[in-house]
Amino acid sequence: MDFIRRHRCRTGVSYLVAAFAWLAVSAFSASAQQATVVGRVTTAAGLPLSDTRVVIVGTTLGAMTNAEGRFTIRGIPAGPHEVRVSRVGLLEQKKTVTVTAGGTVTLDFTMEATAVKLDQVVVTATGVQRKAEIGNSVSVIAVTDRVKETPIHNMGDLLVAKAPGLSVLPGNMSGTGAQIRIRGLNSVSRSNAPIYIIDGVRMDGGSGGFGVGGSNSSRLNDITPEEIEDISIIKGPSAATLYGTDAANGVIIIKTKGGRRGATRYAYTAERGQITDPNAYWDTFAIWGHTPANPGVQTRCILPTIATGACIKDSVTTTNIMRNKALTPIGTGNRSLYGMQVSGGSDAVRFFVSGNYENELGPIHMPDIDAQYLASKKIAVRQEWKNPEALRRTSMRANLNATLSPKLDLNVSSSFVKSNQRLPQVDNNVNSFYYNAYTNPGFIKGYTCSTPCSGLGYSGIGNLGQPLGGWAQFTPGDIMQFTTIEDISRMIASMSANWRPFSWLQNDATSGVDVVMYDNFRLCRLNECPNFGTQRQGSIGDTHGLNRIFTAQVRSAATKAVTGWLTTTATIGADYNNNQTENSNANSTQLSPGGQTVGSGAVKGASNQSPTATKTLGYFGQLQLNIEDRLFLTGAMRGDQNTAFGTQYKSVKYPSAQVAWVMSEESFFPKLDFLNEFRLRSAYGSSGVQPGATSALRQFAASTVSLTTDQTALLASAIGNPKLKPETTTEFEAGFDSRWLSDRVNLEFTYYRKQSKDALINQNIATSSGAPVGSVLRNLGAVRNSGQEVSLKMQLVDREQFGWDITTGASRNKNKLITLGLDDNGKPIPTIGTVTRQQQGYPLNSFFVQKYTYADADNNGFISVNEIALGDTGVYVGSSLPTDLVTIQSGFDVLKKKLRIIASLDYRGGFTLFNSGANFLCGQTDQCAAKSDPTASLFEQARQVAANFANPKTTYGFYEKGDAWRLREISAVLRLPRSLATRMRASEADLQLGARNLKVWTKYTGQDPEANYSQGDVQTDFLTTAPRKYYTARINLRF
Amino acid sequence: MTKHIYRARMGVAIGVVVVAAACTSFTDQLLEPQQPGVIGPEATESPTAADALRKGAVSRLRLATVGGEATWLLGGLMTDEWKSGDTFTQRNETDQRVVQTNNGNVSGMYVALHRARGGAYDALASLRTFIPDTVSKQAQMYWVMGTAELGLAENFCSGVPYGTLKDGVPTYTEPLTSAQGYALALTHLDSALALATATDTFTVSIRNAVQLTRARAFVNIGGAAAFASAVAAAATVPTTYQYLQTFSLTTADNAVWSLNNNAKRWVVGDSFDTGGIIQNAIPFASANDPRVPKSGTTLNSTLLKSFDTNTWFVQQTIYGRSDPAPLVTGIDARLIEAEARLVAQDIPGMMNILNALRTASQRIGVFAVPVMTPLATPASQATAVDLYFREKAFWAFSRGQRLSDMRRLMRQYGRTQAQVFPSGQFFKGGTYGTDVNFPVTTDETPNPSWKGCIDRTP
Repeated sequence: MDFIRRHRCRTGVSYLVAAFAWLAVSAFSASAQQATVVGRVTTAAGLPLSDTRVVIVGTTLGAMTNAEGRFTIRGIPAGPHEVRVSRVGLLEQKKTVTVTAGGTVTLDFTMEATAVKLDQVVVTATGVQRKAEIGNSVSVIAVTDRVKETPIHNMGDLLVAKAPGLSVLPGNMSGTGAQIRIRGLNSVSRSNAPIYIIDGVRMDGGSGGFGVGGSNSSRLNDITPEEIEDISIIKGPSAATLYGTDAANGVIIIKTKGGRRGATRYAYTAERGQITDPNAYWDTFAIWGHTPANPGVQTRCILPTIATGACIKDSVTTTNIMRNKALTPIGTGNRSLYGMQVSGGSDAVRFFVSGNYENELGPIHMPDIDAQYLASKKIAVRQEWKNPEALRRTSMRANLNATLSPKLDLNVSSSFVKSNQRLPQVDNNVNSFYYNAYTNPGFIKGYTCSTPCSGLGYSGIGNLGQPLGGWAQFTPGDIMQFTTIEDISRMIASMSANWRPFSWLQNDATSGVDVVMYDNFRLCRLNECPNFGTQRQGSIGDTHGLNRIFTAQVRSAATKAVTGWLTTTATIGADYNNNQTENSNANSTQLSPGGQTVGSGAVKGASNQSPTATKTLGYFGQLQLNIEDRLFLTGAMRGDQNTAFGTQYKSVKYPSAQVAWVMSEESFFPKLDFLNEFRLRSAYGSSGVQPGATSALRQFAASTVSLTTDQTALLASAIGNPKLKPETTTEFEAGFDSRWLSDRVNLEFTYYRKQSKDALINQNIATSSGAPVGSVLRNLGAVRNSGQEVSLKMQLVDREQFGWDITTGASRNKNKLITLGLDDNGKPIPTIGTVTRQQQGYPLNSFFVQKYTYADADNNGFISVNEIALGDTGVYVGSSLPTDLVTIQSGFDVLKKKLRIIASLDYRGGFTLFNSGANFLCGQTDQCAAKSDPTASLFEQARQVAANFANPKTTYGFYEKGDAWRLREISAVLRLPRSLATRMRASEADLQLGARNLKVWTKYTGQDPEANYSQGDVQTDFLTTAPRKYYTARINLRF
Repeated sequence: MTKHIYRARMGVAIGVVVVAAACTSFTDQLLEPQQPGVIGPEATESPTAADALRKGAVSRLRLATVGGEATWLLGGLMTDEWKSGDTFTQRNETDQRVVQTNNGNVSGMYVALHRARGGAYDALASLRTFIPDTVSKQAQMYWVMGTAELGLAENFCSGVPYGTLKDGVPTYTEPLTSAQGYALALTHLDSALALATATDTFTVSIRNAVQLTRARAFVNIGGAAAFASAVAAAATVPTTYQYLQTFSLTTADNAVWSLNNNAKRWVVGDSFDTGGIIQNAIPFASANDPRVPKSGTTLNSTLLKSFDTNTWFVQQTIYGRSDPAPLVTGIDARLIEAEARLVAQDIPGMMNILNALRTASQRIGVFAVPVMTPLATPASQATAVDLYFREKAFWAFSRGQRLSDMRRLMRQYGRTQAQVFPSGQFFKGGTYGTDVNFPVTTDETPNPSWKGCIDRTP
């Protein structure tokens, strides 16, 4: 068996190893005689350009300019060479030079700015590469600029509506995470989230644990945007092949800031802001009336009973606790951020050191009236009760880049984050304040009950004797006594070395680790919290965990100029990832007075550990042909072994091929004044999604059971699948990049089509088999995504006084489940799921319900159950996956470009949202508008009647289009006069005023089309938080 | 030149060697599995593990009865024992008797019953392999199978398959009618009886449980011969016998307490509510019967509202958080004997047995039922039937028998669902449906032989 594994491993890359060896051995002969090129790079105004990349085309040789714009490249083989200079925002330049053995040639460059700022290089699996050379579309977010110009508060803000094909549903509470998907959904049963790589190492970008009803923290948000230089979005398997198993959903590559040559520079940032929640939470209603039989007895009427004459309306009350100033727990939150960055260095050593402190108090707070009531009962109100939604984060980073010799660079990247986050009880949760607010009786008649506050079955007094004032069962004063905290200590560190022993050979080695230590803590002290169940006896739950991802990668690249027009580069490498998680949890109940540790509880619950490990070892090779520096052909292969594969499956291979052709540089291409560059590109490749760490294994679980006394038992818990292999997605994409009108317009278009095979699907097992689980993970199906992406950047006006630029992106994705595979009897599996369903021919997670029509046949203004005509069952009503994404950003430079104003508008459309909150409230209470608002539309009435009174019931009316335009960001950045900056002892200063989530246009009747607490694939708008508005002011000082 | 060649070769060699070394020497080491949290099949191959699997099967049966939301609670929700004070659609529709085939909670019950069967099959095989002489424990596993199969037949429609799983491979079978389900249960219970012959305390307890379960299966089959067999089985069990499912704070709570008293999702049923009279319903909440002690009232309860914030809350006080619950009890044996008299139209004989139970102190778990006054003998067979099933309803409150009794009232006593089940205006809106059993849920879809309920008859 070992022989087979090793043999496969060898054969998988053997051809590329051979190619590499041939290139290497043949190339050295040309490298015997060496020369030097020196020079200076300046702007058109003669100012030096530091940190500008200068390379000898067709070799690994290159240098970065120093603070004076000077560079030196040694070890150049004698002969003719092209020298290329590139930097973001500047037109790339190339010059030809001929060097002689032992000679030194001076070559200066004067660079011109491009009208549209374009990224010239991207980070790939084989290192930093010119964008022009790769055959796939890569979106690059220039984070330094984004943070400087727009109100970015977390990674979700940074990514939302920034790249075509990138769907981001931001978290809505302080510190909660975003749902991020790229080019649709690939996997039926496994995660569709992309993977994250930061400074060369894999990073945990998942969600944290909170016991508050749904909302979760985000490990991605542990990263501080202020420390990032840029983010590359690798969108699909055609580009992610060399990232191997687990990269099929795309790769998000984060590059943090590095040191700059020159004098030490200091930058200081301070931000303050307000957070408001102006969302229109639903009104509730009460129809006060009587029955014909008992006119003297007050009763609650609802529209259906009024329609039948069973109830006669006397009066109507309406209320909205969430907007009642005295009662609402929604106030004004605030945030602040203070940061300092120091960077500098010499040609030998550069450094970047950063520290940030962020403090955010969400708008959820304990109302004064509740605090006063508790105080009247001699209950001290704790700070965490007053502000149950809070995030405090401290981050530090130190990056070091050292040039140990002209042939050896060493880079160290290290960061540490400490965060402390609290969340209140929300979402799908009996203690949720949303739930207790929405299920109010439909009226408020005074908090203290000095005036009548009861009626229609509502007493106005809680089960602790507390006045409810309209709250259903518990007030915020009760609910916010819950303490739910997540504490994170996280270190991400990596070290990479780049050794170029010859002009034709480059060796890279990177290793690093992401260590997340977390403590999820949930506490209800004795006699605190809502009086529900045994909560007030006191309970505590504490989970300590450690997630560790270790990454190591080595690669060697050999470059050979085969002829004057052909240069080849062969790369081989190995990549290792070890992802280990372990946690231990403990809990207890019946706490002692003052007790707030597990040990202080009289009853200790079952504690457990759950360690797992997933390890991937991959080998890869790549061969690139560079033909006249305008046609690039690349072929690559990666082979992976993975511990999550079944014992009967050993390794997987992922091939890829790319072509990139700068057609506009060809002689046959027409020279058009208005077309500056035209590049065709195409890529084909595959990568995978790995099974769960233990999905392949047959397993048993230990359990303690009471059989008169507590005893240990064993339960079968998983049947496993020894044949389990990765899901493989293969993608083809093609498109073009073009620059027009003196580089004022940049247009990119991409078409892609990707399809998975051996899709990992939790195949249901019929329950009657007595199986210990309902499903087993198998490689069964196939899913297809296809679509188009367009990116357009325009510098419409670029004058001294005024500038106007527009950046737009649009994408459309069509998702389709091709097959769910065959069952054990060889028959196609028709569907998985019922309402939210996987069905062949439809997008993943589509909704299927029973339709109905309605008509007010008796024209009485009411819809009764006999006016609902039920249609076919199980009818497709829409997909939960947005198909259309549009983003439009417009920037204006005024006041001689000292003031820049940016507005960002985006659209998510082509999907269906289940308005489950409205459905739930009409199902559970009589106070919803559809039942108790006499002005309720027939549509509203019909959907609640169909959902609650029809037989069978159907929720069809609550499936709505989620399409929405959103004014996402508006910001203004003012470069302050030097005199003002000088007064602050700074050399430069700018002031940024920003606002987020200002306006939404939609027909969706739920809270908001982005109301959501799930980081899974299906958005969940259920009694949850809608996007808040942020208003911030930030000052940046540079010294 | 020579130096360059040498260095070049060294560079190439280093690159190749790095990859090659990783590919060979370290591959196995780097990919060495580390899953200490996993208990694999090899750990189950011992006598100790076989006994642990047995305990696991028993715990699964607990989940299918009183330890989870299963036959005792969901079955009771479809009847008049409980009503939903909950927000979950799945519970509300069960209470309303309009259960959908994708009802997640009913699915949970269906799953729990079949997994109890599956666990018993696994444990039985392991016991036979590693401790073959422990026949009483093997008998217990047959009893677990039979009890689970009886639960499926009593609660679900005709159309339940009873397959198996071996080495991770399921064997799907044709669905059985409810009558065939009772017969299957009896087969396994007879196997249990054949093995439970020793006289030690454990074996005697298992034998009593087996006999009571057999008797219950015979009662479901109905007819004179079956009732004779039922009486023969029940007669061997003393009235004081109880097979207790126990609980502890450190393991699991009694689910009746958990879902009623603690979570307030379940509310003790009554014959009326805010919507008016609930036809056919026994007023468990307002009858003040000592066998169903409670606190709170159906309207204007001092305990305020249940989980849904609308339904007035009433809670039982038979079971506390960790109180044991009798899966079967000698009281059941006497009630079966009484019903046999009823079937034989021996009303005085039936009353003798019922009044003997009432006039002596009884226990349900640890709850001591106070002595009650005897009942007058009903004048007719019809009123005797009413009286018997009302008495049984109070004795067996929330012990997973009411649904099968209501079904039998239709099947064996000729009544209609509108005369037996809660009917009329549903207190949460709309009217009661017509379900008299649970549909087999869509969990069964992968079974190619399964096409849904064969019928929904009682």
